[in-house]
Amino acid sequence: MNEIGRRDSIIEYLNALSYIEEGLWGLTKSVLSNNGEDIALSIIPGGAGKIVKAAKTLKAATKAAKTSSTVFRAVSKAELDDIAKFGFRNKAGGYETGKLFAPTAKEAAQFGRNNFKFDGIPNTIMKVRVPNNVMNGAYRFGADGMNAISIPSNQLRLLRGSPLNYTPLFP
Amino acid sequence: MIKTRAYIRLFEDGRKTPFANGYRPLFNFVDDVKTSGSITLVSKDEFCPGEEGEVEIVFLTKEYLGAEFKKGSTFSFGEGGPPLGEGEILSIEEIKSLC
Repeated sequence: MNEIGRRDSIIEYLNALSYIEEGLWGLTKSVLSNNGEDIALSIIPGGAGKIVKAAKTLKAATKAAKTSSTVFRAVSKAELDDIAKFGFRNKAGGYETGKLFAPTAKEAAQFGRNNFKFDGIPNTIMKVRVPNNVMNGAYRFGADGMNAISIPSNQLRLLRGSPLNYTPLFP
Repeated sequence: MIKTRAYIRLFEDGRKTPFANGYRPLFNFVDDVKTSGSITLVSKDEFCPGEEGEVEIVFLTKEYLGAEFKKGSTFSFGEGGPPLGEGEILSIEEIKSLC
């Protein structure tokens, strides 16, 4: 598992821990109230429910971390719409052999800033899941002082992305 | 921003389709140092594999062009994988700060 995968799993695990904490708090409250009805109500929707959710989150996080990595890309509104409609793909006249991604949201934001300097078109940062077998065949290099990853065009259909709902800041 | 005029060759065994005006590959003036540049075509709409000719290239900064960047500097360019073309700087037209 790479650095990004590890970071994602840690976040998922922390989320799961918070569910467990909420679940245990629900159980504790019920026991303290010493009321049978309370215990039943709390265990099912509040306590046990949260713990089951935590277990599911942990399972999903472990599975995702084992099989995929996360990368980021700055995209224009036009590309965002195209991805929503057709998924990741190359378009005629532009890059043909692959597509560039950044290992962190900050680096993607910096690539976006450079793009804006070239064409004046605003960017959105996308978080993209890449299967690890695809990631293993990607090119990694430095460009304009940032880390970049080129994913071959014939693998782009396997990527899944969603726009970030915040703007990452870069140094 | 550094505006240059360059002579480029797009390899026949790289891309299979032409690139259009505004194509923004990664350039290598120095080994293992890549920088983005935007290609403006001169009196044509597309540049085909196997073709060579004059273009304008704009770079955002001199930082990654190498200490010896000047007229006559040679470079390769690509999309992150193997090089897809090569070229030579014919002239440096303009240097201006973006700040």
